[in-house]
Amino acid sequence: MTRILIFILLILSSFALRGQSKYTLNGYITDVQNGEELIGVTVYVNSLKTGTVTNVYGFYALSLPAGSYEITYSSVGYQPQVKQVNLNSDTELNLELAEEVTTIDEVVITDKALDANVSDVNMSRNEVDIKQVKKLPALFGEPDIIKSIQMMPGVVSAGEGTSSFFVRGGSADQNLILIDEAPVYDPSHLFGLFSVFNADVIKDSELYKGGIPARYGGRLSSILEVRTKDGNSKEFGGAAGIGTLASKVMLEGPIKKDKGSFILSGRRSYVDLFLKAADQDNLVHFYDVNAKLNWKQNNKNRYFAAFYLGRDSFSFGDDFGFNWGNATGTIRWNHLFNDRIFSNTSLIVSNFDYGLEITDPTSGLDWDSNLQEFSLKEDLNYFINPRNQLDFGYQVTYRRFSPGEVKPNSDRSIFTARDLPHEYALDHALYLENQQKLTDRFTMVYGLRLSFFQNIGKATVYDYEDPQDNINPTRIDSTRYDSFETIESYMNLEPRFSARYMLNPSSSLKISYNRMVQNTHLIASGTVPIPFNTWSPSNRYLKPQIADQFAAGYFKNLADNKYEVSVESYYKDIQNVTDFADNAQLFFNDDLSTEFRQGKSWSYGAEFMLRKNEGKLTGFVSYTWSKTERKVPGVNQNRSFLANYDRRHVMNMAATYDLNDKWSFGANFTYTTGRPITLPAGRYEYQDYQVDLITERNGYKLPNYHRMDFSATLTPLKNKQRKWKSSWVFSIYNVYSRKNPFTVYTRVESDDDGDVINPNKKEARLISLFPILPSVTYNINF
Amino acid sequence: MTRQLYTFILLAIVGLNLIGCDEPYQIDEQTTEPKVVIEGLVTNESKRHYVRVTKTVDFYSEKGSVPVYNASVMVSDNQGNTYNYSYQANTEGGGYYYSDDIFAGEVGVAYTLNVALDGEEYSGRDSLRRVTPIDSLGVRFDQEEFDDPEDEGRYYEVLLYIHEPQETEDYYLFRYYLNGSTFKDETSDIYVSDDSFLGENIDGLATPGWFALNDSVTVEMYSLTLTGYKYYADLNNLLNNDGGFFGSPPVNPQTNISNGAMGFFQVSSVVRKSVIIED
Repeated sequence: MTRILIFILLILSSFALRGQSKYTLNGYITDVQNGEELIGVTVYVNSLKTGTVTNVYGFYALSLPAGSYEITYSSVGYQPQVKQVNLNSDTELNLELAEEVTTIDEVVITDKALDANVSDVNMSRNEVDIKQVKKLPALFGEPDIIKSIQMMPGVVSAGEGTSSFFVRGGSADQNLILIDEAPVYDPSHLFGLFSVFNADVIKDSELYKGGIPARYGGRLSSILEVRTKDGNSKEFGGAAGIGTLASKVMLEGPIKKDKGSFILSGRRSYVDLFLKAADQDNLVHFYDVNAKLNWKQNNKNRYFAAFYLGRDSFSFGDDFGFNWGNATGTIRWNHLFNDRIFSNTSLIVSNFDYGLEITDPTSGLDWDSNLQEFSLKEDLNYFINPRNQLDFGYQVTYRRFSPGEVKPNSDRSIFTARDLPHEYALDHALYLENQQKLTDRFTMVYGLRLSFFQNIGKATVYDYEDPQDNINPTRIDSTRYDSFETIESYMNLEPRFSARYMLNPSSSLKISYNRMVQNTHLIASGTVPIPFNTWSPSNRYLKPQIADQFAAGYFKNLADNKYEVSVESYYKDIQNVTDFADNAQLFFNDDLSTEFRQGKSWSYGAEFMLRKNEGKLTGFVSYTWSKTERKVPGVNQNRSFLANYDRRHVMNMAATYDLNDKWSFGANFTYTTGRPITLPAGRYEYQDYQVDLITERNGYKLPNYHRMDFSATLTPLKNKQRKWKSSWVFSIYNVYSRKNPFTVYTRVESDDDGDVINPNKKEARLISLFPILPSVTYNINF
Repeated sequence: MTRQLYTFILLAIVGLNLIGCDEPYQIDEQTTEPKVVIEGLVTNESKRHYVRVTKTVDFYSEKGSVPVYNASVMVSDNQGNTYNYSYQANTEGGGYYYSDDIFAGEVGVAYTLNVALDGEEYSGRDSLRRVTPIDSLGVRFDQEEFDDPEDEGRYYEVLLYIHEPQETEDYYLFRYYLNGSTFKDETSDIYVSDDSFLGENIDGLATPGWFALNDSVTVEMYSLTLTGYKYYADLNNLLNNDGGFFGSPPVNPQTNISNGAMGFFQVSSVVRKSVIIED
């Protein structure tokens, strides 16, 4: 693989040699206040009517014939700058942009080209403006980007209080969630009440739902890329917030001015402290730590190290406890091979684990499970000329799955030690993608990703008389594999294509196609993943899942880019979608493979979005119509069924209104059709049990969901005279206290204490979670 | 991993049971063709064994089942024996058929149940496996429960002592009786066990519930085949599912009875021990 890479590099450098008559202008664009690199800044050559945008590391490069140029640097929320450049040699031009209106609350970056909605080749992409997220109402006053992601068109959630999301008919495990390029396997705190992303350290986050660039792979439905701040390289500063459920503190500053900086942030919930005070035995808490260091040696070499650590811990008296957490680390090196080849090399580590503990003399046990991955990634951007930008790279990932280990933790425990076999996988990917501007109006991105997956030893693989017989699995043979010996390998080509045609300067048509392949499968049959689920690599009995998606859209900006409108539709088809037999036993099953059932899934929909970016009132309205079905042999008697997360209509609104320097207000409204649910069509007696009779999977629909939230942010005027700034955020969640359906279950008719009233009757019960919930958060910045 | 745990967790998190809400919900009734339900049990005890044949009812029905009187029921084994069953009137709930002869199931023998009803044939097959004996039952006074009892006067627990053979693959079903009637912590509880998790010594494992002085507690232990174990595990999932939110969606248990009937035909060895709670 490395040889191929060197070969490509050689070809590319010969490209570069041919372009001798041209010179390159390149550099980094940063924020003047804190030195954070700005992503997606437009660099426009006025006379040539052409340009480029800065990449995700704030770097740009333009190759132009010798001459004198007027260049405009512009980005949403920043004052544009015009530079005169005399290009008679390769030139480095780093630039700092200042925010348009100096806001008194924290400095947050909203960087992108003014008309990105229309002019970007990318479609089906949503950026989450963290500044707006902080002003909008939030559950328990804790701003959460995943809750904002759940409001984007094409995205649905399974219910409130969850951190999972479903993109264009894909299940929750089909989203690749990255923090500083490292995957996060479970993004939830407190079973989803909050996500693991602390809003204070987030610089930028974007969600790709379709037309996914070739540099991303490994999951079928979406990529959520979250980037954290680099830390202020100009001066020391910090922020702290005291919330209803959690508090946090963040510190940042230069290691050496304009050269290096750090950011360190921590967040902890303190429900447990109240519970302790209330003499409660049941304790629960979570924490997060984010840390990042960077060193900008020069334009040619820049180094970054980013870490995330988070954990949830629950205990019920002295008897029972469990915990889970993610830990990720990324070390990054940005390097310029020459003026036009930008390289990003990353070493990535991610670990997810959970544990359960029962402390009891006779039924004591420890149960642990974990998943580790190590990845080396090389991404290159080659700015060939203003009409072509080539991205290419390589990634190799090693994964180790330990699905479960049980150990008795007392001498008298009835349990025996068991360790389920570990699984190992190597995942290679090689990609190449070119963005080509064919005419002033027509731009295409075409690319290819080659994924080569290996399920490797050490392992013992069993052959079954009938590999799908999960009632009486009968092993007939077994094969032993040594460490790193290939058990099964899968090679897949993933074409990616996007095109944009400008109808006029304020509107465009876009189309895209992408094929995605997923070799890491979540072993769960519920709607919403829980931290106790495990993952499995593709193997002899689990084939790679493959998704093909077509999307087309119309994009329009109105009133000088003040309003953005988009209409998109898509069709997505998934082969080998991973599902499980009815009644599958997914925990501690030695013959787990007999429970796998793979089938087809198809989804289609239309999405509308109206967004207002400027003025006192900003926000969006989105509406999605979609339908998602599955057909899996061995599930629901081989009949097709609606996916658990299928929702026909989804409407979301979010708005903020800046009344004056002191007050700003926010509101959310969300309306969705209920999700499908499996309910009994009858019942019967078996011994002394009243058993539900099930006739169809997801044959019923929960009641519709709707909710409105308000928030108000107070920024005291005296902030202006002092170094530290404070603000208050007041939130009301579920203003009209709608009892929104969470789930329905059945039981023998009982009273409120759970005592049986009539053993011969059954009843259905609906659980709803949050009534009206006010909250207050106090934030300071210094 | 059941509904109660999830609900409890969520409610515990969001403010000590003050916030969440659990209220009645009306399912839109679908009219479904009633299905046949067959429940049978053959044990190693010498007695008249039963098979119950009923039909499913609407979800909101006042009665749990519709008894079937006109089935013809027969059990045969792989040793050439056939046992005829006859309908017995005046049983609680109805639908019970008892074997005409007294017989005892034998370890290692497979039994087949055949039910003919309205021109349809239903059959099920299970085999009788040995069961591990209960060594003894113990009684323990619990100080914490005594200080703060859930139910007044109930602060004794019953302990189970068993030697579990490690070289065999066994599955067990436990049933508990308090003063002669079935006892469960919750009406939907099922106590089954897969011995691959168990060590050799079950050394004073507490059974469910708290008991008062002079209570008579009986523990029954049934052997199950893997099919039987899966049936009860599935039934447990169905009875305690959370609507498919965190857990798997509700689905009918995998049964050994053919032709789309619900229920199960179980063949087991059984052992039992009793204890009277004394000081």
